[in-house]
Formats: sequence, C-alpha cells, structure tokens
Amino acid sequence: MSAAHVPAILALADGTVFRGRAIGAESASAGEVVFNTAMTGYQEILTDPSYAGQIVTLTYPHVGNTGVNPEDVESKRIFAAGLVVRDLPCIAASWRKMLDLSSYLRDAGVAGIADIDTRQLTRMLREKGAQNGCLMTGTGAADEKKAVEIARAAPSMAGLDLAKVVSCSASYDWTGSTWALGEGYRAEQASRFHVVAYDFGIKHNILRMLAERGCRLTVVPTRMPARDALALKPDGVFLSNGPGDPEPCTYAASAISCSVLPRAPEP
Amino acid sequence: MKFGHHGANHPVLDKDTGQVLITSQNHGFAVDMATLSPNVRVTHVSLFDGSLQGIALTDKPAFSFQGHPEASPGPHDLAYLFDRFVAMMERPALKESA
Repeated sequence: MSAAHVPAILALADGTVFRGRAIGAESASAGEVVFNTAMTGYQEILTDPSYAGQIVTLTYPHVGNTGVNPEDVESKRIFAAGLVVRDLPCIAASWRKMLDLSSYLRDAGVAGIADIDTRQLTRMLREKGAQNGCLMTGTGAADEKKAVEIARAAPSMAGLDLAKVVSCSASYDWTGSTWALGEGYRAEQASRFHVVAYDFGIKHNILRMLAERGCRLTVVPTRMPARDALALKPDGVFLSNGPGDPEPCTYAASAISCSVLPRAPEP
Repeated sequence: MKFGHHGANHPVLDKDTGQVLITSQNHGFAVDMATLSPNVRVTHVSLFDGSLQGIALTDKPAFSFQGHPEASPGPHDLAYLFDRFVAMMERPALKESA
C-alpha cells in the first residue's frame, strides 16, 4: 500500500516553512500550531474536542504504528485542524486495527504532514510560543507565500469561543462504562447518582469513568441555563473540558455560579 | 500561556497528600493564582512551571482540575478525582476543610 509521494507544507505565521509529505486529505487548513509530548494515543488526541482549531504536532517520532479502530475515539469525529508527525510507518499493525491513520484522516477530510523535523518545530514553538500556521497538502503545497498569508490571517486563539462550536446541539443520555481487555466497553453499573454533564467539548472517557462509578448521565449543551440543568434534579453537575479561550464563555461562568450556589452544604 | 500544556507525562503535585501525579494535559490558558477568591484554595500545582492545576471551594462542595483526569490517552493517576466527585454526592454536606 505504498502511496505516491504527495507534497505538503506547514507554514508558520512568522514565515517559517516546513516541507514534507502529505498524509490524510488534500486540503488547506489553518490553526494554532501546538505540540503534544504523549507517546501513545494519537486517535484519542485527534478526536479530543479540546484540539478544535489547533494543528497538533506529535513529538513522538513514529505515529500511526497501530492504525486506528472504532473504539479509541473520544468524541464523534476528528476535531484537530491538522496533524504533524515525523514519521508515519508504511505498515500499521495491531489486533484492533481497522484502518491506517492516513486513510482515517483522509476520510475525515483532515490534512496531515509527515517527514518534517518535529524537533526543530517543537523548539520553535517552545521558544517563541504557540503561533498560527497553515497546513497545505497536494497541489496547493507549491504556494508557500499563500500558505504564510493564510497562517497570518487565521484568527488568534485569544478571545475565541470554540466551546459553543463543538458542544452537542441537544441533550442526550449517556450509557456505557470503561473499556477492558476481552470485554470491550462494559455496560453501565447500576446507577446510584444522576449527573448533569455540561458539554463544552467533553471527552467520552469522562462519561465512561463517571458511568463506571454508578452515575447516570445527562449530557447537556453549553448554553443550557443552570435553572434548566437543576430542574433535572441532578445529584451533581460536571463541567467538561473544552477548546478555545474560556474568557468569552460567560454563559459557562454563569451556569457554574448558579449550579454551585444553591447547593451550599448543610452546617 | 506561552505554549500551553499538551502531553501525557506532566507531573502535578497534590498539595493535600504531597503525592506527585503524572497527568494528561491539554490547555493553552490557565487561571492566575493571584486572582483567586478567599474561598478558593489551591489543591494542585504543575511541577513543570508552577502554574495552577487544581482548586477547591472552601464553602461549597465543588472542585476543579486543569488537566485531564480521564487521561485517554495517559496515565490513570488522577482517577481518584472521579471517586472524590462521587463521594461528594454520597455526602452532600461534605465540607472542604480549608
């Protein structure tokens, strides 16, 4: 399954251009370039809604070795704006593998770049700070000037409310506990508590770990007013992680203060 | 933050127990410790840069963590925070000791 060499570039807002090989979809995307030092879990990272609007560089040099599977997802789709890796092995092998990483990215319309010096890129990000970048793959990859322009024109992460973009649009009930070898995802335990979980970009494993501990979960969208959430008579309210800048999420701050205040402990 | 915390190997100190936990992290913004109200106490700090990682209210049953206790990917050192959340529901009158 040796794919033809398709060119790709990663252009940073400061004018630096990295040239490499395209993996995933042929497209152009812009976002804040960040680096992640995790050695495993690329599928969980790609599907973590907290990476919305970000191009993720993985510092671990071999990424994709075990392919992807339908179980290791942390949300309903890939949220990262792009993936940057040092080396994508030509063979992915795992008893759980259903697809290779490049096809997974391509099917999701997400671009990636391999064969660039991720150590150099990471050092730049660490010294200068995170900055915007543009990832261009395929025929567009010849136009470096345009890629730098797109990177410079991309909105700054500061002040960006992405929680409302990634949140669920309607409330839903969650069932399903954590994964175990030989069992897969286990059934929910008999529920002892009802928890309302605000979805600002929630990861499935939060819901699984709460379900494992006997929680029945109602996942609600970002903008549900606290009075509506409390009307569900939960035993607890959980506020999830999420992407972007928390500062513009004033609705979240209001929901937090309203759900905490009426539950003052008895003396 | 300059380049945020993104990774699955970030050491965090639990100030209550003195334990160091290896945690999964993914954030580009953080809360300034100097801006906390008097009813908020610091429970966890990052051992990479000293930044704020965990808080608890002293007068209400509520707490918060900056990183990802659910890991996925990452080590399970912080799973006890989910136990704490459930324990608070078991004892609604649980009062955080300052």
